[in-house]
Amino acid sequence: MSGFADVTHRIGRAEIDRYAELSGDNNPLHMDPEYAARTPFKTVIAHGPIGLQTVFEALSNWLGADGVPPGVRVDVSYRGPVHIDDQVTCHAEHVSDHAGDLTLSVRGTNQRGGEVLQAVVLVPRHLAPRER
Amino acid sequence: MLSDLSNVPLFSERSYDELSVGDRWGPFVESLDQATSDELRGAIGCSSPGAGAPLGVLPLLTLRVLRRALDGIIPGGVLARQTFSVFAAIPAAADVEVTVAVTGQQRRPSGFYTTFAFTLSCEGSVRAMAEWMIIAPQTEGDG
Repeated sequence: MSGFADVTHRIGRAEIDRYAELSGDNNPLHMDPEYAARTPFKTVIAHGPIGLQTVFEALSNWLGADGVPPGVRVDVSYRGPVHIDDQVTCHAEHVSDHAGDLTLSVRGTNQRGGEVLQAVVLVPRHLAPRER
Repeated sequence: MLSDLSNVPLFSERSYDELSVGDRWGPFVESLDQATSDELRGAIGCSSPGAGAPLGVLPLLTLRVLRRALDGIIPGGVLARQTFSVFAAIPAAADVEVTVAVTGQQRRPSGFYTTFAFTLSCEGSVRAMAEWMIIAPQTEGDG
């Protein structure tokens, strides 16, 4: 989609450790390889919202906003795990314009093309960049 | 600096099926600070200054509050879905009051689904709402 630029984040051990520190979520699924090996995920996975940061950054860049713009709504489905050293890229695939809102369909994938998240983002039409 | 969570256990002794629709907790006050807001504008660990709180504070604050509400994280749950709705700006540094309630529970073949709804207020007005859907694995005897 024109104007909504892709954003890629590499998510390493340092990013997971920092998010655990900020959030207080030291669940061993995110922290302990031995524990994670006994789960269906087999390896440590990142907290879901770390990958969502790609969508938030792309949205902020697009809107030119440094904060949380009123009227914005983000609905994210976590579709697959993000493993250590994965690169998550968010890409807007579709936009529709209806009843004063733009609705963006955004997909987050890892470096292998695997889907890790899908998001639907509603933005009030008047906040969107005019070149759209 | 965000408030201390060291007095809250890491893991809760509760289970998702002990909860009921209508259960409520809070308000809990999370003291959002400038440095944390700045760290949540883009990739984690990359700080970028700004006057407003970025969208990244919403999953972070609600995660902290869920741990407080449930006396720890209920083990085994998988985060399936989150929704964030913003009604008014949140300053980058502010005391944010957060309440949380159970608003849905459903047993499905794929697991036991619990939905939590959060209300985030600042200086007496509601600024944002969030929803989380968590899937708990089926336990023995579940259909």
